[in-house]
Amino acid sequence: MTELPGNLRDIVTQLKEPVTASAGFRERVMNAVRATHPRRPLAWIVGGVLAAGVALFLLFHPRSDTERPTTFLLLAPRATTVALVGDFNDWDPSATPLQSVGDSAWFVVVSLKPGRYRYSFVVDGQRWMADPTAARAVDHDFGPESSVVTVLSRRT
Amino acid sequence: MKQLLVVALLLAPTPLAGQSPRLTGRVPQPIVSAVVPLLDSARAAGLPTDLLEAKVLEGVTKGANADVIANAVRRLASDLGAARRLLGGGASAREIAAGAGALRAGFSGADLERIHAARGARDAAVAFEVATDLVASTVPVDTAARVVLRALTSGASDEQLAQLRMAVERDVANGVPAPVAASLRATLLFKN
Amino acid sequence: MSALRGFSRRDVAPRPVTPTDGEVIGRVLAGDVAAYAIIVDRYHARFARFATRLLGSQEDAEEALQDAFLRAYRGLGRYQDRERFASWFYRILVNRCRSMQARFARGSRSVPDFESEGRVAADDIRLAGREEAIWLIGQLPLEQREVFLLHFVEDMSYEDIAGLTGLGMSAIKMRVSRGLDRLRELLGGERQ
Repeated sequence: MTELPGNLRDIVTQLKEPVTASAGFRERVMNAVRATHPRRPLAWIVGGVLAAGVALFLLFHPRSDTERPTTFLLLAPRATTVALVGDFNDWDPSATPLQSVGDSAWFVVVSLKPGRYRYSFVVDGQRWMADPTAARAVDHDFGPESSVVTVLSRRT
Repeated sequence: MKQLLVVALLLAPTPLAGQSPRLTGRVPQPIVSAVVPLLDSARAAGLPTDLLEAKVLEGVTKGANADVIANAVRRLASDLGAARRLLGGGASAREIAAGAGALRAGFSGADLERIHAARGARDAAVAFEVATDLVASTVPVDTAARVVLRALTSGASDEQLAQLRMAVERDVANGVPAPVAASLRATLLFKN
Repeated sequence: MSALRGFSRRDVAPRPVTPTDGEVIGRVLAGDVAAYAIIVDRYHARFARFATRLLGSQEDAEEALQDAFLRAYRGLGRYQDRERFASWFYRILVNRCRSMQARFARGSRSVPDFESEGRVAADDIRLAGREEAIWLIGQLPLEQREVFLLHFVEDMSYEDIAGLTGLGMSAIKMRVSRGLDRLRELLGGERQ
């Protein structure tokens, strides 16, 4: 068994919490099983088409061209302050502070018009962090790296 | 003391206060001196100075010195100018910005022209951005150009291009070699 | 119909010990549909936590499990006792989880609930340690998350994982290693 560092061990401890079945899970499954008629291929086809239709609808659900709420999230347990800086707020560290929730998470929701934005986090007023979950920006004119977020719109 | 300074800024006929109000109060004087001539000539050339101003502010926030910031502004202005020349008068501001980004990422002028032409009457901004992002995911420039062009000639929408980018980023994060991911995903998404 | 091991014949008294998977399946195929509930209980207990952590939501996990149980039931005739039922069922389950994730994926993030389009006010979000942990592993690609959960949370050895998933040892080690690298990177803001 691979040895884990302390902070990852904490995470594993959380994940090991047992999960109990919701009430009626077995009944629901057995009802579906009993209702199964194995020799009905048409039902499968119709079901498959419906499922595909739902999936496509969810994927291409119309979005407005106006601003869309965009969430930025960073895990930084020992930070005192975290700010979001980027193209959309003139890289101003005082413009968009993140709010602390829980023990280590910081987040903010910003309304952005569709487009492509470079951004970064500033921790405790001095430490730069690109977003570990986002794509990196390809142009580094200055030392600290930035991340890229693309806000989509509905285009015809 | 700060109040006096603010008043002084308002009263003094600084070139900055009149033309670039966004920078006022945030940019130290040495940087102002370095960038104002660049902003002026960009403005005279009809380039979108808001992007150049944003670059200045980014540099200030990141603690860069006047020379570094001036170089960055110069480079961006040059890319914007080149993009505008290549894309022609009808190009939108976002297209020009995206085209400049693509040039910066290593695409040639010919690549830009081909992508622009393949997009036809519609805005090529997302196509340029996706091409740039593919390169950021370590797809080689020529592969990225080929993949985006192929998508466009298959009639891909902006949303489909964005899907392509996200799929390639996921693949690369999973360990698929970037050029393989780009080619495969384009094949899967855009069957001619 | 194939001859399954442990198929109980009428002339043998029912055994008081816990039936094996093969024995239960034999009874189900012989017409005792209600016996399938044993499989459902057994494998829900075994995989509920894994599926819940894999998908980040108990509701989604139960939907995937339910779907997997149904497909397994319909496919029992095909399942020829060539391999352990656990491995066969596991593959169906992970396949269902993957489909589910593809259906709801937004961008390259795979865990729902945190990208709630701004409708949730800041006060409504209470991120306890568990939610942070789930968000964190949600940043891993599904393949890495799968192996991470099996090894560190379900305490399975690499050999057991190989038996269950059909993956080779080097593939398993690579995914674990990549997953750990990624997690360290995500937590890397707080270097010691």
